[in-house]
Amino acid sequence: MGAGDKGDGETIGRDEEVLRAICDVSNEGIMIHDGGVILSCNAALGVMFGYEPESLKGRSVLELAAPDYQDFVRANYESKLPLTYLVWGTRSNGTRFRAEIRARTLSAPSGELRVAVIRDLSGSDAAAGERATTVSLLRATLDSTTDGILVVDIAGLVTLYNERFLKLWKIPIDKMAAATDVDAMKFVAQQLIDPASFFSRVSALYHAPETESIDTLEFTDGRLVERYSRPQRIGDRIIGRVWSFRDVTAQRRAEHTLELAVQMRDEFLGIASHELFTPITSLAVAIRGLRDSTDATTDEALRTRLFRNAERQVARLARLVQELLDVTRIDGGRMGLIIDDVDLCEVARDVLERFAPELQRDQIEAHLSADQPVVGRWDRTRLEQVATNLVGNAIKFGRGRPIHLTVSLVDGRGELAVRDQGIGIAHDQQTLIFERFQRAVSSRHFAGLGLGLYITRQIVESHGGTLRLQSVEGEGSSFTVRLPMCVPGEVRP
Amino acid sequence: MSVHTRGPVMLVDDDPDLRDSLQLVLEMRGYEVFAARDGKDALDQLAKGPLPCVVLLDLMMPGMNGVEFRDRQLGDPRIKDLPVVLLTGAGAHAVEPRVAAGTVVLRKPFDFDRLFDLLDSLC
Repeated sequence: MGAGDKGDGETIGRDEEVLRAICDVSNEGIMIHDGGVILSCNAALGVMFGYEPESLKGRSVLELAAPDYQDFVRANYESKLPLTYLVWGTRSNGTRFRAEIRARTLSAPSGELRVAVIRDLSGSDAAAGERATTVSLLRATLDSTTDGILVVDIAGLVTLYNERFLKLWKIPIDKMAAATDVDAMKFVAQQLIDPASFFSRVSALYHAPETESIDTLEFTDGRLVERYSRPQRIGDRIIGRVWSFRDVTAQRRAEHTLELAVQMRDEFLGIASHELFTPITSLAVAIRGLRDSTDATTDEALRTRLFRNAERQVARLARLVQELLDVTRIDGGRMGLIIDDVDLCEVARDVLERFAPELQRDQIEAHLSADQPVVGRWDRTRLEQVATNLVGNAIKFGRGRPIHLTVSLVDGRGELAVRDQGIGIAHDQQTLIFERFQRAVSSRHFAGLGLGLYITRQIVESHGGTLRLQSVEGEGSSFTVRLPMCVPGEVRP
Repeated sequence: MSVHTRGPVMLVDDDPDLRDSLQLVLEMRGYEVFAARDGKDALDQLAKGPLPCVVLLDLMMPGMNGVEFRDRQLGDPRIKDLPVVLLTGAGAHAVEPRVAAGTVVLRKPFDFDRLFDLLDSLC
């Protein structure tokens, strides 16, 4: 307000009068302050705080704020930003009340002045109180939900978001202040594996404000987030859009694992029934043969062959059932060991002897080199099972070529190595085959439950030992078992 | 042992025990038996020797399995019309219609009377 002609002076005088009248009839407290020093205020402000309005001039606005809100109020006016916020005020009689402040900074010739409008939210203003309650209820709900929520208005400005939203998208709080949805989108784009398709879907939604949509976003860090979006309405009018984001990584992983487990189980049941029915069929055939051979003309050698065959099928069935039981026991963590003095050479020799008929039939050579007894405190039956599985595999996958067994004492540990010159195991399959129900080659081509190496590994590990595989596809495999001379934790007698 | 008056029957199965005992049982009933350990062994024997009156064919075998054998058989005019009885493991996946077409399917463990009747009618 500087020098001007008379007419301008009159206009300004009238404008001031009008403004003053508006201020005087307002229910809300209005003040102008300069760096926190009150220059003028209306009657309502005086009434609200319990002072003569004139007496407030020259005082600090901080005197009107509750002591614990003074720093907050100062920070707000020093920011010079247009702001709306809630504080606690203090009346002259010392009582506190909730107030809503709307303030902005004006440029005046004498410097920058700040205008603040204060609304009393205490009990006397029921509507405002109710609104505050609603707002706080909404806030509490937003902050306690596990979904990240973002609300944008029709112009694309962020209206509301919760903490979970920021965390989910790893957005720093300062980035979010006064951000538009475009800013937010840019920030999140770098975190998505396929941001282009996300943006095209988002833009499609803006062109169709009525649409509700859902999809799953893949994050570059491996997370899966379900996105849901629907319009925000007042009555029939759409005023914005609500986005919610839910981290479903763990859930989806669990579903995937479960699917794989079910698939593996089905496959296993198929194999298991085939494996069980084969010896059952052989047994049935042998029994039928014995029944048909009861007349005196049948020669004795033939009957013996059928009996032997039937016995072998019973042993096969027993072995299969044993494998299934072992797996159940291992899964239940109940593979108890019966520890005794055991010579690993003897174990290898006995197992080879048991395979003699099979080796002979298929004309496979098997060699055992064992220079000296290797005696440790182990479970004999379980180690026989280990040797049986390894030799059985060497025969099965050995293409009829010679098999070598070596028992030795290496660095104070008992070692059993079984080497074949068979089909070998592809590099990518070499760790898989030790898992339950796994095998490197198709079940259509080789018999067995696919449990052998899993059980073998479990037995070796329960002895505190290791099972190592060296294999070249097409050249053969070598399995090496190394055992400490006694099982860890076992007290030597 | 016995004199073979019927057959011959070709038996294709990878399980040596099943092959051996079923061969004995069939021989006791007077059939001559050509035993083969997989599809390739069977094709080799069929290429060289006399043709059987029926092929008892296991499906799940190492090397050449029963499905591949059947494909090859149908592509060879000399053997394509040989009657085939499929022996399949119960509980295994259902036999594909393409494979089962034109054959008789017997599930293991099979009904012997059914098998013997079939052989009687074919040989």
